[in-house]
Amino acid sequence: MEIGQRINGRYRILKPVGSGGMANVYLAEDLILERQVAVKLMRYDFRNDESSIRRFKREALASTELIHPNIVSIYDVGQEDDNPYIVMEYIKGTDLKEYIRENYPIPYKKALDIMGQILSAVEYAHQNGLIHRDLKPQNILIDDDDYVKITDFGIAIALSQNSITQTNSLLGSVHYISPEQARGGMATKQSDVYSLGILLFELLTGNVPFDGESAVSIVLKHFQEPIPSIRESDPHIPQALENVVLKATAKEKEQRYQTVQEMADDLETSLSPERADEPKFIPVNTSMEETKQFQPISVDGDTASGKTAETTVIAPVPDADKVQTQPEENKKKKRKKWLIPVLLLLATFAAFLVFLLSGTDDVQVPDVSGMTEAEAVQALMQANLVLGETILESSEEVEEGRVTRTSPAGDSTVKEDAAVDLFISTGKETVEFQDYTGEPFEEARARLTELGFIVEQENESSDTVEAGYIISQDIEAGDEVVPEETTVTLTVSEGRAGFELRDLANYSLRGVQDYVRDHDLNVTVEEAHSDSVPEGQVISQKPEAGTLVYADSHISVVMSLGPEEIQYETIDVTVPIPYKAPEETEQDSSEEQPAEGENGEKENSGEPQETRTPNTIQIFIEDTENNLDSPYRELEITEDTEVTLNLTLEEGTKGRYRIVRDGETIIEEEVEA
Amino acid sequence: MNIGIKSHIGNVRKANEDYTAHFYNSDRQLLGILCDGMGGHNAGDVASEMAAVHMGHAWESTAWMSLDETKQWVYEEINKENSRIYNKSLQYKDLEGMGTTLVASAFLEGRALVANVGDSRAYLLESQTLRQITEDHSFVNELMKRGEITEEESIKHPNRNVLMRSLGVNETIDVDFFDVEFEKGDSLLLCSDGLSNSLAQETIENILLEDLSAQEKAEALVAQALEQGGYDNISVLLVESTKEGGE
Repeated sequence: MEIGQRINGRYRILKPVGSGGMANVYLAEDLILERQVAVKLMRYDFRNDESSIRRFKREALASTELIHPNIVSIYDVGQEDDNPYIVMEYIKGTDLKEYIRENYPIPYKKALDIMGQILSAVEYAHQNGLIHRDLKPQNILIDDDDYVKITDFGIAIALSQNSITQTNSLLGSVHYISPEQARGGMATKQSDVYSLGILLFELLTGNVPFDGESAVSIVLKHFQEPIPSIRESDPHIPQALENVVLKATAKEKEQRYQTVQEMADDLETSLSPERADEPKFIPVNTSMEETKQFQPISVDGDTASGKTAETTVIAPVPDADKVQTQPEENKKKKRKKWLIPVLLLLATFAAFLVFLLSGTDDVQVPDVSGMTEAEAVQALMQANLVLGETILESSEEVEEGRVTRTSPAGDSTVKEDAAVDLFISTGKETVEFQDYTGEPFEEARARLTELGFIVEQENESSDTVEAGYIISQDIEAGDEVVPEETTVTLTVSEGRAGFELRDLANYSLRGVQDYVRDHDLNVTVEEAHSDSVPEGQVISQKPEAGTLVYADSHISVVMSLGPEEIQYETIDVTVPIPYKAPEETEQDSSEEQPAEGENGEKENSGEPQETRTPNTIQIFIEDTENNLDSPYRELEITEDTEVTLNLTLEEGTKGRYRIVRDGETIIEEEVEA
Repeated sequence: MNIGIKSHIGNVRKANEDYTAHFYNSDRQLLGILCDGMGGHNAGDVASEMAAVHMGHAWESTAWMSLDETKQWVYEEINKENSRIYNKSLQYKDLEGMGTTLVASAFLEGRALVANVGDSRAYLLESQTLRQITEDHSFVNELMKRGEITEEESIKHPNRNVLMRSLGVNETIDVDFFDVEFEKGDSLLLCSDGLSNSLAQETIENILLEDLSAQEKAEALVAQALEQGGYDNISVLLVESTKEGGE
């Protein structure tokens, strides 16, 4: 699909905005409604499959009825050539996969907000009887204001069946697929719940829980392995929040949330201090009774009851160290797993007693720097302090969304119920990204590199942008970004779209025509004989394979006629044979008048022929069938006679004929084919 | 050797992406190849034809080879075709994602060497009994092998067409080899999944045991699969051994 091309006469392609396993997505202009739309052109080969086309349209149309702020609106469904397409609302932004990659770690509150929007959309779809079946971050778009939109409702099923697909097309989904779907079973609301649980895991940890080298190995983990502990990688995560993931991703669907609404409600309160003491969710495993009894014990050491005490100690430790020290901590914890919870519980209880008894006493502001906003608020509450204002500021050290400092500062002593202002990091100082499109790449790169950006180059052909100039940039002009942390990819024109001409050797004429048609080439077909290339296949081509050609280029091919058959040509030669009356036999021709001289023929012409002495004429021919050794024809003539000789000759060879009259060669000529 | 070959577009598809052919080398050793292509617009048939024709022509320019030499040769040749298809699919936008299965059998002095990538199959008929030699490199078959799903579940699985291995997808490729005795009276059948998905093994066996020529059997197999719907391209290549000690 080229820029400027129209789909169905109505949607003019403006630019490609993405491609997935099954489709290419373009930004297009709806020429009738004069608005920007996204056109998703399925790459799936529907030529082969009428029933898939019907199913695809049915499913896509069903999703047009979903009207929800967090669901991408479908405007139109159609078919261009053999590929079906969907026209939908254009969302300026990125998909959630990309968002997680760029923004991890995502503050819990933000993660909850994103998840809440997703859940609300899926709940709405479920109420309308539509199961998504393929929920994954690639299907969830998020705009610059962190506004979430889900796409591809019901499309998954329409595309999954028939026609062989490569594993790659499955790989995006297999990380999120529920065990029952992986087994080939019916997808239910609980299957969507499972995928949502995996999604939440990824939002919180930056990674999918199950990864592997092949689709099969990933699916096996969905079947067999428990979800890795989130709190092991991020001990700050409240147990109640991890529990949402655990419950949503229970292997048996009966143990998951029965509705998405249930999951949304549970998630909404998961950061609240009231739920800080919640025990870890353990699915009631119907097959393994023993583990059920042991697991709660090991878990208690991690419960949120001791969290405030713990975080104040651990939080300031920079990330890099945390990763290394953690395994050791875990070992220690396991050894003392009985002791710690008891002590912590006692300590917390004692602290509460002190607060309760002491009235409006002085308290110490906890050091909450490095915590997330939610954690800090919780810590303040536990210290009997009140949240004052929340102020955003940039910070070189503290990552975005986390507390940089408080006012009054940590460790200072204030009255109970005093207000404490929180300063939240907006990350490093940002600059506004400029519009570099249309500029020479080298200049832009120099300027961006100077600013601290990492610049990557992608090349693309373009009919409109001169080679070496920038077609597009993957960061929108006007976006606030931190140069040192930002890699910008500039798409640079390499001039007109050329492509390397395929090696057409041994292609059939139809194959050549298909190729030429698909690539908008012009072809001249010539034919020639070949001993090595079978009849009907290409012997040679111009230009040669690998040459860069463009749409509308001319190419020529030489098709084989098979081995050369010898071509015979039949040549008719008309030879006048003059009659000559024999000289020496005057007596024999006594009744005749003697005929003599060059003009004898004419003089004789009036004579009655019967009275003449015939000439014996021998005609010799040398061609493919005859030679000069024996006469080709013998005849007698009594007057000037024209004979027509048929010579059969190979193309390019010469033949010969000889006329002998009464033993004397009178004519000998060569004949050329 | 008697050879029967038949490839049919089926009743539903608009293109035949299967390609099957047989080739002899200069010492009259036989190689049968069957490929089932996949991928977008026009690309599936390109991939299957590329793989089969290139490999076949390469075989024609070889001379007598031992079993071990053949195995090495086939392995290298399949990898060559794999990277050829892989590179073309990167080079040409409209060939993006193309690939093909490949099942081939070389017949060498009383043995058949079967090489397989994908979910096309080889069956051997010996002593009146048909058995499947190759193992499908499909997602559902892997799950089935691990006991995670049953055969019935695999037949209805929505991802039953997902392949774990095929030519043209990765830079390198692993090939399964099977080396079986192949003597007088034995038959070796290569087929695309258009046949094996439509006909039970027993049905295939019965047709192979009928008193027909190899070509008639190939045609009967395809005809029977068409009767079952013919939802996919159907291709078969049947080789029957006629000589003691093979060829």
